[in-house]
Amino acid sequence: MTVHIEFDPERRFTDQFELQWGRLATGEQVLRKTARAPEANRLVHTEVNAGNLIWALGDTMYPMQLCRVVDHDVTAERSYVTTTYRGAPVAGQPGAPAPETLLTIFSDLLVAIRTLGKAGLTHGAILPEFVLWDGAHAQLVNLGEAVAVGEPARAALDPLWLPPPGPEGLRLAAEAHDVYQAGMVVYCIALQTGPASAPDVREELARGGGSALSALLEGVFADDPRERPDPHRLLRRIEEARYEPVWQSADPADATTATMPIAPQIPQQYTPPPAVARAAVPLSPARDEFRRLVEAKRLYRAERAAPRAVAWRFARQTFDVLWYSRDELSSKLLLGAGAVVFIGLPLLLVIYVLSLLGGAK
Amino acid sequence: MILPSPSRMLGRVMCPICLQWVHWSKAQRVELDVETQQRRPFRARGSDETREAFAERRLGAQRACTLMRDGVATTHYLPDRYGDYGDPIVIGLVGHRAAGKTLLLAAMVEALRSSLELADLGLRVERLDEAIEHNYMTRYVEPFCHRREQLPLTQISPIAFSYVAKVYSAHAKRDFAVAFFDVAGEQLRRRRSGDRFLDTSFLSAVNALVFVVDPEKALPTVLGEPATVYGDPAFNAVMDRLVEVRGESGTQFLPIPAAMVVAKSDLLAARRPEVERWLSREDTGNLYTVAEESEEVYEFLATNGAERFLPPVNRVSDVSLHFASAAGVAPVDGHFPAEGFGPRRVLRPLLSLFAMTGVLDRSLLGN
Repeated sequence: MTVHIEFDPERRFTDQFELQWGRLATGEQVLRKTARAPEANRLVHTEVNAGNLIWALGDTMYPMQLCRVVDHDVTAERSYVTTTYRGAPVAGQPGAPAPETLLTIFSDLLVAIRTLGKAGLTHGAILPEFVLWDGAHAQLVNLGEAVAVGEPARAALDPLWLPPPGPEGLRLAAEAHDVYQAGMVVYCIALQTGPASAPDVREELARGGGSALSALLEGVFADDPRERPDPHRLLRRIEEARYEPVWQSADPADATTATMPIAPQIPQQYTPPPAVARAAVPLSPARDEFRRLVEAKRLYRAERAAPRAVAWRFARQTFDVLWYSRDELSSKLLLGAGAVVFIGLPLLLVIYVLSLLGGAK
Repeated sequence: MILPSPSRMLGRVMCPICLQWVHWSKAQRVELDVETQQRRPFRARGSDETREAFAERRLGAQRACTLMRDGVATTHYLPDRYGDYGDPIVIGLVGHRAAGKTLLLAAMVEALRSSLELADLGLRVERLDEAIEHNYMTRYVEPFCHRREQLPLTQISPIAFSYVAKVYSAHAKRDFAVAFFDVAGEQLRRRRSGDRFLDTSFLSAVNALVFVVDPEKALPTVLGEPATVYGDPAFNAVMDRLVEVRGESGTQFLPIPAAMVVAKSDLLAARRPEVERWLSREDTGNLYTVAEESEEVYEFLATNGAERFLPPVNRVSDVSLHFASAAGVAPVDGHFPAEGFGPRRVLRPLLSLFAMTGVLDRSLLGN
């Protein structure tokens, strides 16, 4: 696969990769990772495979919440993969994000997790470094650690990012694994703190006693993966949260820290949180009215989508179409009735007589 | 569970021009005789005709739809493949004279045929009818988008498809025929005259509406021109007709989705930063922000004296509101200046309608 990419002359090097940023003809930013070590070749292969599996999802579009493999060569001596790279890592963002932004990041991560799940994959390494923010949406990059659902999860990460093992003591790759990590990303960027073990995070959230953040992340850090909410449930929770005033403030402090103390130890990579919490901004009457209208419409559509309502409309439309076509259909109905009377009934009679004769023998 | 509609199961398609159910597989196929310029029955593939030549000839075929009224038969023509893909999506543009409907549709069609973002949404757009495509491109898209010419006002004329396209949706896993009707603003208000070819009966067959708000009429105070604001008579006429034809008892809502577009938003952007902020955003394919944009547009219209333009928003069952500009600049002597010329956010209302009509996933809209 060959695409035209305008690469920046500047390159960066890590232990495993040579990194080069560039742009597609459409202006979309991309990152090429060229392997410099045998282990890196595996990561490139995994990323290419994951990209192919997501492309192969015939029933869905390619989600903008996931990076897209645009170019690769796994046969070269130094294999490489080029993926879209929209925005900058949330790990490097100054200050805590606005509450609405936080909801968007979380929902985008969940959409990405859901899509990976459809492809039979888990990301396995959802860290703030691999969650990009472009000003409007988040994009999950680095599919090199992706693992098939049900396979053992890789353990090369910082242990604080790993969820607790399942009931049998196994850490198997599952959506719940990614949900835990996505929750941890949200927890870290909301509180401007570093990762912590599941019990510590639960304790910290419980200390917030009913804060918006603890309600949002409820159950995400459960020890048993089966008790963690699935992405669908969390997305619904996010949609509901969007209507709560505490999540609509322009001030990041409101939703996340208003009822929660800020962690005393702030790791180096995160900037300090704003010190003072402010009150949520009230909605204007027009917006309030519009939201009530949207909600009423949503309920109306839900009612119309109920099976009984759908069945009633279906029956009525069928009758309408048939009634309109009655002239055309009447001749066919007559033909059908004639066929039954003149062919079907004599045939049945013959079969009946034959069966009687057969029985007599 | 997604059920195919009864009309689709029975092979019927509603003709949006005369409102008859057409048995599609039996509708007569016709072609244009190049010499006489008359339509004649479509000839079957001859023994001396290659498959390629036959396919090429089929591109120019149409289906005849005959309406019998008072012993008089009148025939009109539909695109040959209009009914091949199940229930079509019929979109009507509504707004008063010179509101900007034609320019908006031309910019929308241009974006629909060339935007790369559609692929990210799982959409693929192809032409459905060669003649309509050619006519629309040469009469509207090329003069406006490529030569930056101001288009003439749409005149009252027999109702016909303005534009029609085939849209493949990866979400729905099928093709849709999408038809657009753009008629003169004053034609939308015509009394039912019994002449189905003139009195916009197509409105009874639409699946979605685009209400076009002209800021010069709706928001004069924002533009620094104190004036009394009246509602749009075309909006009222269309809503009244739909309530009578499609209204359901026991609910305030009409079961039809709509997008309301504040056209010519470039005029507002220079004066109001919130409009400029939306117009300069590069998030056409990102429909999660539609809910946020709708709220802001609603608030903007409601708080700047344009509340009389909002009744359709309150009546339809699903709605989104948008700021958009087809040209990005105002015309000077019939031409748009090159500097600043370009459509802004014209595709979003259409993508929103696609999400509301099932072509795209409804959850993309973020509410």
